[in-house]
Amino acid sequence: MVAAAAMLAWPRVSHGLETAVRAQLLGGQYFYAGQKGALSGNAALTLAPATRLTDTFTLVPVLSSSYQGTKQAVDLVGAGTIVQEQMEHRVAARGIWEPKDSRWKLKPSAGYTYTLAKETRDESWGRGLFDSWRLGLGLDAEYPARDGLAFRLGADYYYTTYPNFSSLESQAGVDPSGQPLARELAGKKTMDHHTQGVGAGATLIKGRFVLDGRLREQRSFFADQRVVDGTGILSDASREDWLTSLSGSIGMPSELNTDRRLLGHADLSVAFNRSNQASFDARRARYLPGYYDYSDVRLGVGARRLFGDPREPVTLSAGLSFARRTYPHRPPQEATGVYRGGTLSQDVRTLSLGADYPLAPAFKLLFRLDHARSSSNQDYEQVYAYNYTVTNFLFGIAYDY
Amino acid sequence: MSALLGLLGALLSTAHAAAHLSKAEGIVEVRHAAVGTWSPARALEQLESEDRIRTGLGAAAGISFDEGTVLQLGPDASFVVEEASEKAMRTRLDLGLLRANVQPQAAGKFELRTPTALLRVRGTDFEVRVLAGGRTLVELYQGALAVEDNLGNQTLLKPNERLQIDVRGLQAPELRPSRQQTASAGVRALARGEAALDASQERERAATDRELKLAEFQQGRALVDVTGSRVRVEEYILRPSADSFRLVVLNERGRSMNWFFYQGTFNRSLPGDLTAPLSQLSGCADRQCDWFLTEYTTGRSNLVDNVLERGVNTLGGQIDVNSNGSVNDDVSTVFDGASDRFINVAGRPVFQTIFNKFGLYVNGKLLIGKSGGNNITSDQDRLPSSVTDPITGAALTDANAWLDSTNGQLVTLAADVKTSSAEKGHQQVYNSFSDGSHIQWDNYSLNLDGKVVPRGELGGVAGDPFRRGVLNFGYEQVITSSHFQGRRIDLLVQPRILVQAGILQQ
Repeated sequence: MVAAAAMLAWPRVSHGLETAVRAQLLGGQYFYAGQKGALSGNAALTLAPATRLTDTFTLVPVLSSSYQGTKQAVDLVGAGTIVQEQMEHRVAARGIWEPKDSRWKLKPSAGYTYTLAKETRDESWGRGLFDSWRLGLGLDAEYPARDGLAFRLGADYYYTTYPNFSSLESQAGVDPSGQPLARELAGKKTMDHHTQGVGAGATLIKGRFVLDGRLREQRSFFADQRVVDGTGILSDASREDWLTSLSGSIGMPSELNTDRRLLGHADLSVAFNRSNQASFDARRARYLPGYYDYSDVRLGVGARRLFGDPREPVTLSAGLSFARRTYPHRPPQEATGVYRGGTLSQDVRTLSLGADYPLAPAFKLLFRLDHARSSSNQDYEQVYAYNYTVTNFLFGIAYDY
Repeated sequence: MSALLGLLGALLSTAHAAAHLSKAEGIVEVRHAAVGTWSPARALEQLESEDRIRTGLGAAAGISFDEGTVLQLGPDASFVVEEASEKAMRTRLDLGLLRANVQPQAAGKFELRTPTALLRVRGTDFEVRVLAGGRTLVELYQGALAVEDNLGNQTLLKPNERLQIDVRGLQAPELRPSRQQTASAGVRALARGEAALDASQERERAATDRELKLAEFQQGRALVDVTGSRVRVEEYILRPSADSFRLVVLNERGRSMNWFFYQGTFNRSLPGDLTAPLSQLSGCADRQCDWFLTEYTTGRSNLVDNVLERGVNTLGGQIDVNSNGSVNDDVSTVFDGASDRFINVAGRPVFQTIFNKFGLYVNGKLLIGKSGGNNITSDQDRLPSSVTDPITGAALTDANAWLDSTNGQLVTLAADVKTSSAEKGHQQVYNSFSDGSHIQWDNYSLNLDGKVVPRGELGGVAGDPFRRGVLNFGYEQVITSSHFQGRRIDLLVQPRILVQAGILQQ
């Protein structure tokens, strides 16, 4: 799609490459449930060599690689995996087409992402259970109206597959007496899915404030994952999830005044997921329709204080966030697994502190500290922890050109 | 009428105008102070003090003063002629881009105000851009330009210098980049913005994948075993017939798969919701259960080796084990599946299923067999099998049983040793047989992160306290045998069904 748009807009000579570079090298440590992880590091590099192919079309390839050796407070900590390293490699091409005599900017894009994870002692690079690759296409449109008001529309499609993940049931075979160990219609690549999404958004710059709002709807289809019915067997239908997300933010990217060099922001987002898939708790023979449904509410506030040279300031930042995840069709359980009445919910409160210190043009020292506390009415934690405290810090250097 | 008078006034005032609109391309509108409404601009239209001009998308406007000064307005700009007279040329740019070429004779008279700066001209060619929020960017090409901020700070801009003014006031002037540098910086900024947008969209997509992974974890399908290695677990129910169900547990560790199943056949057809039948698996107090097993089979395998355990009840009902004359099988607590708790039943009738035919098969051959007639009242009444299969009634041969070569009969149990380690949370059951073979069961209670739970935390090392405690943890069972040729069956299971069915090895 990007190539096609580039060909359409090709008639004039191209200009030289201009490459935006962002690099980070950080070391840190992770503390969870009274244990501390080893000192480890994170590294990330993004290159975006852009070129104006014509007066109206710019091509921006994006190449990025990252390695994460220190878990983050926002990672899936409840699974209690004791080793976790992750790499992500992405190659993408984004086009920006700005037709003359029009305010519209059209941005076709295509990208491929390969994510590798080592979560346990026996997993190695390329053999992680949850390794995945994702191939996506997208088209965004931006319309900058007058007086700081801009609108955005977008649509995308992507396919995600987990090359090392096949359901065990599809491999189960028969018992010694020849009886099947798998249910009829058991699928193999049950996590692979196709997703289509559409979204719309608007940004308004008003005085010192920037207001942003966004709505997105997406459908994910799991062709090889059959829906489980009330007796625990599989039906003909395949799983389908619908996710609606609405977010808004207000930011103050301009400083208050010369004396109070303070920037701030507040964010609010809500999301709802509906799925036709249910879960069957085989141990307790309990059918849980709507198991994958959830609502998510997140609220965050943050502030940054600047010191020194306005162009290369020293920055101190602090943020607080609260997130509540509610599963309307999952009853909470006692520690032994007995289901109680009510609705399962989980709250996560996070405190984030940061400091940036400029070393030279484009170089700065970074320090980040995150502390999160999760609490839930779910007491059954044999397989996943819902109540925990986690802290991680990172310290290192960043380059941004 | 008032509009007509205003227009007349505007026309009459042209005789004293010092500026006019020299160019209007695209949407350019003028609001004359005397009229008060916006109207499309006309070429050579005269401009008076307090007249306003605004330009639309892709539009441009030129304003010429009588002494030769020319201002060029870019698109999306908002401009005001505050005063246009022989004494002063005061202008204001609220938003947008303006290029000014001020003649030397206007030096000292020409002023341009922005929301954050005041520019005084001494014969010059400069460009001003006012951004939303009032931030002003000034670039000087020729001449000299005095710039003052709203705080009263002043500076003199020299040729090829540029300056930024915002609510904090003036910043230090710096050298203006070349056109090439400016274009490069613009493309790079675009690239940076697109890379950030790409990363943001990828985070959103990754969040969807994260949810999938989260659900796998929350349902206990991806766990960690005692060695810190990945164990995958899938559990589901099969319905082989109207009166039976089969719970299947599949494990994958590394590249090896192990499976466990428990199949129960009941005295009557099962409902769609199995909660009630399962809650009565371990027996009922005071009366016979509505649903009770007539037959069960458990299977454990590593896809090469397998261990099957079968029990058959042909007694036609359950037995009150607390009044059957055998004190060895008296029970004081019964596991209540509905509440997942052991309830006290001491001194009360407790009806449990006695399987009068029992067989343990290793790799398809009978290793232990016991059977009793239809009149037995206790497990103790069963007698060891020696020449016939207790379940099928078939004569035992080398093909279907592990026979002792010395007498051609089924091997007999030589040792039955149970050991527990309170510190290590490890429990072992070791059975050796008359032919020198053995089978060993090693059981570990595990925490979420794969660490072994000390038996002390389970509430006991054996019996009901242990069974109560083990419900709170994962359970790894490793089976080794001289019949496995060095292989082993290694299962990570939730112990509930084992506790419920009364088949937890301990």
